[in-house]
Amino acid sequence: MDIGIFTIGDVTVDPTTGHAPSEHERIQNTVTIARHAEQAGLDVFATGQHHNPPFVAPANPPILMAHLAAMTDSIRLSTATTLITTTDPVRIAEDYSYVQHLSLGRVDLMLGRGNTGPVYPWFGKDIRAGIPLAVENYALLHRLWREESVDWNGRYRTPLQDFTATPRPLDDVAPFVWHGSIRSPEIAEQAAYYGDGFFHNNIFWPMSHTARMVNLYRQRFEHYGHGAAHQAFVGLGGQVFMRRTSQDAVREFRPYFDNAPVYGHGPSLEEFTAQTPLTVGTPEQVIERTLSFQEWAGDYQRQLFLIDHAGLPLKTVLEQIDMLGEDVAPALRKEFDARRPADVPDAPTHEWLVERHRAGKDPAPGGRPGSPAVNEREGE
Amino acid sequence: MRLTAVWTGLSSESSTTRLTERLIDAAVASARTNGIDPVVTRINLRRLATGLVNMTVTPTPDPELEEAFEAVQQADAVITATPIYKTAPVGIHMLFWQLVDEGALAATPVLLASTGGTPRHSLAAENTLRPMLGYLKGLVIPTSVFAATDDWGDPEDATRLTRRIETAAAELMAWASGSVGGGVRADKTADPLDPAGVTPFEQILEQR
Repeated sequence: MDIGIFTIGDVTVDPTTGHAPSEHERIQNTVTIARHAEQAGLDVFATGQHHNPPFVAPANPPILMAHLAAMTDSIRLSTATTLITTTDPVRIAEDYSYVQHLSLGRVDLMLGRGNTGPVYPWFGKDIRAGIPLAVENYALLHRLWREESVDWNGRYRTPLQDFTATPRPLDDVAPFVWHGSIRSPEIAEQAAYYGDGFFHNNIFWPMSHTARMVNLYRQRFEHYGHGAAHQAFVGLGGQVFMRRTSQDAVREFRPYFDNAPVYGHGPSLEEFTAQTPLTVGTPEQVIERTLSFQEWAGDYQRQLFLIDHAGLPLKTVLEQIDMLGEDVAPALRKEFDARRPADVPDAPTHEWLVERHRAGKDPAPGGRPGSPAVNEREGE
Repeated sequence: MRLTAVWTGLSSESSTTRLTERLIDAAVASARTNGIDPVVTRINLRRLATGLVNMTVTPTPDPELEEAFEAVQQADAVITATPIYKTAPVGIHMLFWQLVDEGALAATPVLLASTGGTPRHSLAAENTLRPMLGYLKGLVIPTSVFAATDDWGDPEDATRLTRRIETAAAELMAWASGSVGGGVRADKTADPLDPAGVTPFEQILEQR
């Protein structure tokens, strides 16, 4: 079970002090946060990709990942998300392979379509083609990592003839891919088709909705014959704020919540806590709430928490990481591992992927002969 | 048949609530003459006002609002009624239709009704709500109903209002029970996250 943190690199004024971090400060803080996460024993640090203020997540996440790879030894570096719509898949293939080599395989990525329309034209893309871009670009990316010579003719980029993405992935194994989507059945279907992971960033969503998205992915994963539904690779988001007493946590977090750019001046902290995974309280409350996710999402492999947003000062963020590392992660790993049946895979690592590859058990896009999907196609 | 009424009744003596109830009664009576007994869902947006504003500033729908959206999605016919403020439907009524999923009204007959202090407000809903409900792919029936304060008092006006309510309700039920819109309404009520109904990825790959 991966327990980690993800950041969108928002530059937000601290509503309690009026302090506005500079971009430089926020970028340096992000590095400190990632290193601290490793020291606290967390499994994953994931960075967003952003091209617009008020965010300073890297425009190309491998720049930050490469830096972090040099400064850390064990933590896995991921993204939340890599924009598959507006980033050339050739660049994704080459940059992430490179950072995979630098980090000795500590890299995976989560693909997303992005959350602001104007990004599309900045990169010469059409916002109306969000899903088709995600579909075509990943179809190419998947091949670039697996085939030495690629001929390609698609709708959204120049054709390729006998093209080799360089460098080749470490040990000839592509980084593990999570497909992130909130509402689009097409993306859950895409994750299932390739036998990749599905990540639902549920931080704004009621669990009833997240459960339906996860179920769709699981059922289709089984349909494509990559394993049984309960063996699919699921990741979830969450956001927490912790103190030793829940009263202290609520009192300290409330001004950040009330003024946060994404949900401030809307629902109350109490309403939002009831409706979404947001948990403001003690580490024990966070543990209890997070364990309950397994009851509707099934046994899942990755849990990422958002903890550095809404203008929270660095010191506070590092304290959150300490509590995640000392209290939350050990308890979650222990209980989730105990609940997980032996036939459900743990969180994928590079070593696990290499072993699977050498055993000839890489998932075949669309399923192997004998899978329900292939039987259905042949029956037609 | 599922009939969903979405209205904004702001006071305890709301004339919009009164008009909505009259329309529901007339629609149910009309359906029964054809042997249909509609299941009626009542949604007074006053109760959802905070949730509507919250959903405008955050992406999170509250559970009651989700239920209301679902009732519209599943409806075979919709009645919507709003008070007119300053020549436009009151804001929270507009918000509901601005926040509901696109296509929520696909091929669904909709009866448009409004209330106002004076007859001078009578065409306000026509100019704002009708195009909006049309954008949502609703089949807004030609007869809409407007009731001014006078219509509830003067016996002649009241009779005319009653006749209009009956005409509109019968029209709504005729459209709802007929084949208007064909299979579109069935698609609307299908669950997009049902694994059995999902578009297979090969097809998504080909369509791009």
